[in-house]
Amino acid sequence: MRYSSIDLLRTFAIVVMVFVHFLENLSGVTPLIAGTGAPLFMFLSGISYRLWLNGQYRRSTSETRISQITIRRGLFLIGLGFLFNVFVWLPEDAFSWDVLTLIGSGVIAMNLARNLPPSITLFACVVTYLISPIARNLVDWPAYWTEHYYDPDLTLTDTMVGYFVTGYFPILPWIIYPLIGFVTGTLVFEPDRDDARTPATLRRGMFVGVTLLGLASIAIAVRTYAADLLPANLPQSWSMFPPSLEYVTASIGFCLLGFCGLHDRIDRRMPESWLAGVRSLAAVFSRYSLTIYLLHHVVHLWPLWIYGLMMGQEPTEYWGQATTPAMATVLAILFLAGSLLMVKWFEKSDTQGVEAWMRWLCD
Amino acid sequence: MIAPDKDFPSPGLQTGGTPATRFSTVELPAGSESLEIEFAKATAVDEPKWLSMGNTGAIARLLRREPVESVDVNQTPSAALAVLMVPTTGSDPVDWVQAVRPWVDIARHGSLIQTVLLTLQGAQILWCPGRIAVLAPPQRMESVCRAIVEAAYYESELCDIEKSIDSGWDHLQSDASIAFEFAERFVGRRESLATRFAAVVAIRTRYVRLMPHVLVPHVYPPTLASQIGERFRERTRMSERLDLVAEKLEVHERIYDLCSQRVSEFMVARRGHMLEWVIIILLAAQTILWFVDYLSPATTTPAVSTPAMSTPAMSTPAVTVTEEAVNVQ
Repeated sequence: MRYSSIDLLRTFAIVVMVFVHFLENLSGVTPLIAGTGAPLFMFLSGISYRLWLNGQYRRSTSETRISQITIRRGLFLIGLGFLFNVFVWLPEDAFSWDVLTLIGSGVIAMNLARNLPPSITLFACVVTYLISPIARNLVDWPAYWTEHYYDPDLTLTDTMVGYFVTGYFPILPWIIYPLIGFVTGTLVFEPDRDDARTPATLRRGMFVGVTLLGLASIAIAVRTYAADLLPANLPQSWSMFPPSLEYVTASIGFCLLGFCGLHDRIDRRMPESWLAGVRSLAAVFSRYSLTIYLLHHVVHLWPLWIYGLMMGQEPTEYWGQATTPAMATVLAILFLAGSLLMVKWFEKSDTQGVEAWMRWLCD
Repeated sequence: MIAPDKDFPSPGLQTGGTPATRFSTVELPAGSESLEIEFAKATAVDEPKWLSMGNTGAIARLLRREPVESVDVNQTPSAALAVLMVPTTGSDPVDWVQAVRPWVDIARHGSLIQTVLLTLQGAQILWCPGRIAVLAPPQRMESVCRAIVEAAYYESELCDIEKSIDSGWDHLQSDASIAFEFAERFVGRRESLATRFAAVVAIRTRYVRLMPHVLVPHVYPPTLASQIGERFRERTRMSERLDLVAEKLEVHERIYDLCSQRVSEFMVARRGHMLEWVIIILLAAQTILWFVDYLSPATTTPAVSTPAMSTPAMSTPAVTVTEEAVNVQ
């Protein structure tokens, strides 16, 4: 069963990521919406896993089989993440630990979490949230990000540290997004029918979301307006790299509020005929989200590398300075329009995306 | 009197209307009465009641009682039990049983349940779930009426138990796996399992309270009322149905009893495991921090870099001493 709320949120995440990556990589400008797409994408992976799991339970799939499929899918995503890093970000960034490797690790973690009480998973998330700044402090996180991007040595030590702490999307604290999505899905959806248990559950989810956003806002306000009263060596208040406590709190609140709010308003209360066009568009984007995620990097980064080589320079020479922000925005819009046509053609011609390859290989 | 269709003409018949809207009324003899009775749980000792159903905890309340001159056989039955009391003398020129039968039959709603006719000591009773017609001499009317209403209540109770059990087979099949093993994924089904367990217990309670009224030994010396009850139970096969219900109920009880045990065991163990998991997570967090600290350059770099950093400071005096030594020489 497809939920328009999930499709809409995933489409939003993909569109945000496309715009942010085009602007950052082509023009060196980071738009204000940066930092909302990736957390949402990971959070929704947790909810989707819960829905998939419920479907498997309804089909009486054995526990062993579910574990096999889950771990294969996790490893597939990790492998795909490495391939993506090598072929898109060039071999020296093979261990930059991007979002795909994190989601792959998250899927494997969810295989453990599915046999645990939700309260224990939440406790693990809270502990992860709290030890992340400590771990960053221990490894001297800024030493890996001297040029505002992750630049490790190709050593086993740095690779391991990158996976846990210093990479783009390390386990600490990013693993909590898929896990919280999974717990949210567990609490919201009935295992037998995939319907929301009660409107009260969704209202509680929205309340928690608003509370977390409020707490993050208060923390940022205190850090901004009462900076003199606080120690000078505190880490940055609002940053995605590294993910500050305020950023993590606010982004989880945003994910919870967005999902519970849209699920309550759109899936439960709104007739299916309303916004049918938007829903169908979102469903198509959502179904091929992984393919679009991979493709948008290829489309705007490969030309950049090739042009750099053709000019007789480093492939990354023009990274962040290839064009103006306006042109990068236009290119992002053109890409989204083109990808819409592409996925529509995929559907008509029964062509499979990366998602289908994963199912074929792992299920 | 009667009137369902043209093939069954009788005195007092009135028919009319188009085929689609045909109505038929039965003219009744003087003294006929119509009763509407509702079965309910007895809530207070002094509650006004028409009839008490022994230890089942139920009573029959009289909602309406009024004299009637005729009845419409096409009248849709209401939710309450309708009783038609037709006083007879035994020498009536009209076959009142055939006359009022259509009024009783309509309560069948097209089901396979047959209308039951009991004939005892000049009293005739037509019964169908929801409607009863009692044709008896006026002096016996009240006692006959009470006897058949009481018997009808027990039958309706048994029927309700049968329906409750039969409606639970699908749930039973889906819950059967839990009787073997309970897991985290079933935790969300605890409430529904508890509800079904309570429902089975409630059915068993109703069954046990009903049983003495169905398996009651024959009363000696027999009275008309006791004979009506006995005959009615025989005709509706209540004893055999009760045995069948017991068998079905046993299966439900067995499954839900096992389910409740599994759930209880799992939840107790789960509560105990919570603390263990908290400790494991804290230890895992500590291990990760230790591991990260072990891998961090801050831990590994000083051992390598310290000599390199200190070499110039150490070497400077040595050079100076050498120069002085040269000068001295």
